[in-house]
Amino acid sequence: MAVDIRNVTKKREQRYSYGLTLLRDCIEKDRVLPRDEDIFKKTILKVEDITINFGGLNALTDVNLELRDGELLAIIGPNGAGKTTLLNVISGFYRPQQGDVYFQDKKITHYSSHRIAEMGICRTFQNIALYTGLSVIDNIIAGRHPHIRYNFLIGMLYFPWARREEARQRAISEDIVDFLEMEHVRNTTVGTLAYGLRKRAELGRALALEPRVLLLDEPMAGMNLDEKEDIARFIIDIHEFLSIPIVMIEHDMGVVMDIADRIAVLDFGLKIGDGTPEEIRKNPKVVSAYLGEE
Amino acid sequence: MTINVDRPCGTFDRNYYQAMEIFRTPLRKFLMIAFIVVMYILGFIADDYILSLLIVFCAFSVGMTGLQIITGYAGQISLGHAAFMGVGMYTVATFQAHLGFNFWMALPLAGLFPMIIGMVFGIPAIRIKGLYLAFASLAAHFVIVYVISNWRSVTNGTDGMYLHRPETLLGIDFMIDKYYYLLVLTITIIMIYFAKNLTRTRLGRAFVAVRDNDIAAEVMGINIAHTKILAFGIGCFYAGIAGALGGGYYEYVNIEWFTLTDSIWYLGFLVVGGLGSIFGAIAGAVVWKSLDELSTLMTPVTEALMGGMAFYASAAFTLIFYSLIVIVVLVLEPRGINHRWQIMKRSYRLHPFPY
Ligand SMILES: Nc1ncnc2c1ncn2[C@@H]1O[C@H](COP(=O)(O)OP(=O)(O)OP(=O)(O)O)[C@@H](O)[C@H]1O
Ligand SMILES: [Mg+2]
Repeated sequence: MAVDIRNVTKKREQRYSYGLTLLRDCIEKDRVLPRDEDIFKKTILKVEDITINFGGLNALTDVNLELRDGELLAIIGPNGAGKTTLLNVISGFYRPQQGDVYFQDKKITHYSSHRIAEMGICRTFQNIALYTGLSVIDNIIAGRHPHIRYNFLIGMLYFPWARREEARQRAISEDIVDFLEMEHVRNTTVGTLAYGLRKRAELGRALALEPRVLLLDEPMAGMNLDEKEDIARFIIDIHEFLSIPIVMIEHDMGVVMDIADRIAVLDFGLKIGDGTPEEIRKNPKVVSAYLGEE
Repeated sequence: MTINVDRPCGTFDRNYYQAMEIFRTPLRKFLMIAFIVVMYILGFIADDYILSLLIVFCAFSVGMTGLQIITGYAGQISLGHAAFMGVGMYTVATFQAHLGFNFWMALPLAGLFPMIIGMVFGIPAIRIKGLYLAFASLAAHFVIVYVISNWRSVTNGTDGMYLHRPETLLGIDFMIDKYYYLLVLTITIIMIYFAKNLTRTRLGRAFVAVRDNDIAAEVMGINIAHTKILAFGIGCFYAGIAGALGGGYYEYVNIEWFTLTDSIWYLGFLVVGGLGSIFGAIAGAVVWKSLDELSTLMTPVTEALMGGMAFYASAAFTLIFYSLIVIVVLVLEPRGINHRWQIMKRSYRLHPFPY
C-alpha cells in the first residue's frame, strides 16, 4: 500500500487553484530573501553538534543538520532514533546538553518555545496535539495568535478595528480550511473528528502561524492510502506554492524518496547519512541500518 | 465556543462578520433584547425582597463569570474566589473611609486591586497544575482573610466596615433600592458583554488553547505564563467588581461573608452551571443564590423540627442540601446546565425535522 506519486501529481493538476493567496501575501510580505534561484544556497536553519541524553540514554549525539531555504528535507530512521527529539530541540521544547540551534544565523537554543514559534518555526506533532474543545476553524484562528494585532482590552471592548481584524484573520483561516479541503467539518469540534482529519487540522494550524520553516512529525502515520496521498499533495503544494522549507519525519520510504530534496538518516541518536534520495539509496551504512531490513 | 453549531436549519453566513456575531439569528437577538428589557422592567415593579434577590443574582453572576474565565476557559483551578470578592468590597470601604473616595472613584479600584493580587497568586499556575494548583490557590484565601482580619487600623479587623452607595447622579438617588438595582443590572450587562467579547477574541482563544493543550499552545506561539496570569487577573477583576456591587447593596462589609466554604461553593456551582460558557456561569450563580434563599426560608421549618438545635441544624442542612445538588448534577449532567440548554437549542435548530 504505497503512495503512488503519479496519482498525487494527477490530483494536483486537477485542482483549480490553491486558494492560499491571503496567507501567501502575509508570508511574502516579510520574506527576507527574494524568491529566486539563489535561495537554495542559503541556510535557514542549522543544528550544530546537538547532544542530549535522558538519564543515561543518548537520544542525540553530536547531530549536525542544515536546512536550506526552499528545501524539503526528510528525516528517517528506525523507532527511537531520536527524530522527534530533534524537532523538540529545534522548537525549544527540550534544552540540549551541548550544541546550538541557529535560525537565519541567529542562535535560538535558549529561546522559549513561543518565541521560536513567533519567529516562524512551526510544527505538527506525532501524537496529535490540537485544542480538543475548539472547532477546526477556531483551532486555525487560534494558530493565528501571534499575528493578531490588538490587545485583550481592545478585544473585550470589541472596537471596530478589533472586529475588522477578526474578520481578516477569519478570512485567512477560511482560506486554509479551503486549501485543506475541510469545509465540510469547519465547525466540528476537533475532538470528534476522525484521525486523518485531525492530522489535517493540525497541519492547518501550523500553516496559520505563517511558517518560515515547517516541521512535520510523521504527518502520514496511521493513515489509509487515500489520506496519505492527500497529505502528500498538500505538502508538495505548500512547499511549491508558498516556497516554505520543510523538515518532515516520515517512515513511508516511497513518499520520502519521491518528494524529498534531501534525506537525513538517524540511528540511535547518530546521524548516519545525509544526501539526495539517490545517495541515500546507495549509502551502505544506511542500507544496513535501515533500508536493508525491508 | 460552539456558537457556530447551533442555529436553525437554513441559516447561512454570507460574510465573515455574520460568522462572528454573538447572536446568529434575528430571533435570538430579539429574545435577548426582550429578556434584558424584562429585567429592567422588573426593577420598577418588583418589591424590595425580589429586588434584593435580583441584586444578589447580578453581583454573583459577575463574580461567577470571573471564575468561569479562570476555570472554565483557562482551565486553572482557583479555591479562593470568594476572598477576591471580599478584597473588592473592602477596597471600596477602605478608600471611602480613609481617603474620602466616593463609590464611583472606588469602583475601578475595587476591580484593579483584586486583579493585581490575583495575578500575584496566579504565578504558581505557571509551574503547577490541577490538584496542586488548587492547594496553592487556597493560600490566596487564607492570606487575604488573615490580612483583612489583622490589619485593624485600616480594615477594622473582624468588626466589619460601612460603605456608601454611589452618590446621586443625574438626579437618580441610588439609596433607593430600585435605582441601585438598575445600576447593578447595567454594570452586570456590560461586564458580561465584555466577557463574551473576550471569549471570542484573541486572548479568549489563547485561554482555551492553554486549557485544552498547554504544551501545544506554547509551541504554537502562545506565551502560556502571560496567558495564565492574565486569566487570574481578569477573573479576579470580575470578582472584585462583584464584591463592590454586593457590598454597596448592604452598605456594610464583613470578613465573615467570604468564607472558605463560599469559595468552594463558587467552584461547585460553576460546575453545576457548566464549565466553559458565560451562560453556564450565570446559571450557576442563579441556582446557587436561589438555593441560599431557599435554605433561609426553610430555617423556621428546621427550627420547629429541631427546637434549640435549629442554628446548627440549618447550617448542616444547607451543607448537605448543596452537596446533594452538586452531586446529583454531576451524576445526571456532568457538563452542567449549559449543556442541557445547548441540547434544547439544538432541537429547536432542527425543528420541525428532528433526525
Ligand atoms: N522526555 C523524555 N524522557 C526520557 N526519554 C525520552 C524522552 N523523549 C525521548 N526519549 C527517548 O529518546 C529516544 C528517542 O526518542 P524519539 O521520540 O526522538 O524517537 P523517534 O525517532 O521519534 O521514534 P519514533 O519513530 O518511534 O517516533 C527514545 O529512546 C525515547 O525513549
Ligand atoms: Mg517520533
